Amino acid sequence: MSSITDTDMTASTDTRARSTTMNTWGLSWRGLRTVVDLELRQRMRSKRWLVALAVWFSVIGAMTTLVLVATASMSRYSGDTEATAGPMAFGLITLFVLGAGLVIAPAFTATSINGDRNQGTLATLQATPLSTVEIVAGKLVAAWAVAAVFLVAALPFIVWSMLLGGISVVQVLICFAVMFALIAVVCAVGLGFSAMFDRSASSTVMTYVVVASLSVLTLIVPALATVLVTVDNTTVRVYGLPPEAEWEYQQAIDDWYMADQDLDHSWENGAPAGFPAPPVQKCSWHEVTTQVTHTDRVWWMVLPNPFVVVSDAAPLPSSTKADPYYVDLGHYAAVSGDPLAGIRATVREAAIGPETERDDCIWLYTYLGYNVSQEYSGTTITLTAPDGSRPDYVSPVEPRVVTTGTPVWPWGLGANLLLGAFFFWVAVHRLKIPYKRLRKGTRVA
Amino acid sequence: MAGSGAQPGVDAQPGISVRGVRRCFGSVRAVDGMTFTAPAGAVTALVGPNGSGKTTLLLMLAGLLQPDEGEVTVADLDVLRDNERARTAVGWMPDVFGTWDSLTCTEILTTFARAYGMSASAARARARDLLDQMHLTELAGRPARVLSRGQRQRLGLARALVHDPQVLLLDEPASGMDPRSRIELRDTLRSLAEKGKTILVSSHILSELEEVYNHAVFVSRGRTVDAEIVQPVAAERGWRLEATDPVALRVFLDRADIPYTQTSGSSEVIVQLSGWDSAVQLVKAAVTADVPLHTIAPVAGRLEEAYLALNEERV
Ligand SMILES: Nc1ncnc2c1ncn2[C@@H]1O[C@H](COP(=O)(O)OP(=O)(O)OP(=O)(O)O)[C@@H](O)[C@H]1O
Ligand SMILES: [Mg+2]
Repeated sequence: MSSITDTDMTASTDTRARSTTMNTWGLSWRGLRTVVDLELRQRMRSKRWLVALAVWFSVIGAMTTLVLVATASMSRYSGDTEATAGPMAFGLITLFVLGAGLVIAPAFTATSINGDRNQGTLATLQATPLSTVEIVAGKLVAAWAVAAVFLVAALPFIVWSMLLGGISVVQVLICFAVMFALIAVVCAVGLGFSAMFDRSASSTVMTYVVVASLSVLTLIVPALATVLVTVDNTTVRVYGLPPEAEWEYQQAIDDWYMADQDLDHSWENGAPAGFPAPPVQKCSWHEVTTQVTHTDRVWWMVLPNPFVVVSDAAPLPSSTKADPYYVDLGHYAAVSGDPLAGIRATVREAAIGPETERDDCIWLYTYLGYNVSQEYSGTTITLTAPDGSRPDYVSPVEPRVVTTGTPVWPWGLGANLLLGAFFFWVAVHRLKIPYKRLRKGTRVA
Repeated sequence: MAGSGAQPGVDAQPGISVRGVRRCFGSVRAVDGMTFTAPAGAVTALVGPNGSGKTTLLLMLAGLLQPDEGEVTVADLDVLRDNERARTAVGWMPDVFGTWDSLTCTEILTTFARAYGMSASAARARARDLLDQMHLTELAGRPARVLSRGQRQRLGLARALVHDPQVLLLDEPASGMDPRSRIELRDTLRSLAEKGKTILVSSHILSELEEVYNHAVFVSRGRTVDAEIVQPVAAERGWRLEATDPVALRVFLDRADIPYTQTSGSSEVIVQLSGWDSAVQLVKAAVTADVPLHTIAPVAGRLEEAYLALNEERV
């Protein structure tokens, strides 16, 4: 009982003794590893987590099967090539995995610190030379690693969707990298709350509240806020027939109808005979007042939304680069049915805001037998002559094309990372020893 | 108070020094002015009623809790200014030792050894040694969750010793331990003290400390109570007398007009004596009267006497 050896201990203990006095923010590799080891051992050894992983795997698997079956039948129905089924399936599965990840991530950290405190294991760890940051960061890294295992377990299904084509490895990697970062943020939020609240029920609820706010509230709030940014009397410059010319032209059309009721008024084969030609040469600029919604003032509220971040960060399939038509993101989104591109196009379009100039003149060309088509995103209008060529009419209004340029996801991800950093700081601040103040009803040990 | 255990190695080794320490929790004054020193190479007992602030004091010594006022040093390191090094010098065993759900005893010890900066192989060796010392080798591979209270307490002690600390803070270490473990705990403490470590033990089981402590610090209502006033030299206390011929003893006491009580079913008698001098006189008289007296001992231990003499209410 009396032989308490201290041979190689003094030497190794000395290497740890740093000159810093308060080492709250000190971080050493060995200290971090000690805590990560401890946490992982604790989590991985319980059977529960294997069960959870199995359940997760089958849920994602079932979802993937559904998505693949649905997209396959949809693309057959629309007559599109199989290539479009890939992005759609990939997008849906990615969004689903992200959603499921956001739901399970709080479970890994939301009771991490208060749970340890209630078990009486936290104080003994704090009493060692481990710094507060080492303890908190170790817990975060371990929880994040476990969450990452769950995300990686979804990879086989992603690969499955890649078999449908149109999806590159880069796309998968970037989507996963962003998802890892977002999950880490949720883990940090849980950790912060678990340091703030003594009861694990409170910290869990609060973490879910934050996750729900991020993913749902960031959509509802800007949607409601559009009411506030809808302005009634806004002047918009219109290129088209001036009011009096417009009136005259309407008169002419009415007269034509009245002239002979029995005439064939069908537009099936272009303009019916005798239909008055629109005076397109009279098109000029004038101003009208109308109601517009300044979505550009509220769109940024959706930026922190994890689904928006991932969608915006996801690169488009490489096939889109070759096709100049696909420069229009909205067009691509509509054609491919890729939900990631769809979300991305919607957000960026909202960012552009209401039009201040409008080309009404171009629509008059339909009366001349031209084919005027508005692209899927509603921002580009193209004109095709009856013989199929593009006429030399040049719209004076710049086309509003939503492109993949100027990505917005760095802002969203940045906001999320700041949030995570804040909660990490809260956790460290709360565990800083020696404790100055204790929350009411908390015992250190 | 002079100890009955091993003589303290009274060199200038720094131990624990607590000066004018106060700590409140809201309106509760848990520690309300404690001052004492615990020398190195000795076992210091920390004794006081429930809620007198012992655990709170140990938390401050372990570097986990900041005193509102006062100064705390361990092994010559200011716990506030030199927090990390002070923490490294201290081994703290809390009164309740929580366990990690699925870690084995060995893993708990190696984890802590690693936390104190030992290499993986040194940590394993150290864990093996300590488990052996605490007679936990058979349980080494079992999850700590399944340990009994006393086994857990022994594991807690092993954990506190893992980095061979200069200063050892034990909060009720013996609770739940069986007699054999307690004796071994005493031996451990004694041998650590001989090596020059500073040991501060809080315990309610005073008979426990009786044989091992060198110094005692009494606390009550968050304050250290002056040990001098509880010197039992002149205190009235009960003494246990036993003789090979109980009848002769009783006749002697009757004749000397000393009131006694007889303990049920044994040959012992208990007499009230006022201080050591009376005891000496009684022994002399008994020997002169040819009473075959073989035992004379205070009913309660000195610590217990002193403790009871504090006469302070429980909080
Ligand atoms: N975190 C806390 N918040 C509020 N009051 C506290 C806290 N910790 C301790 N106290 C109070 O401080 C006083 C001292 O508590 P402490 O645990 O130090 O007593 P103790 O001497 O260890 O008692 P025991 O012998 O029962 O272990 C008690 O009245 C207790 O209620
Ligand atoms: Mg206590």
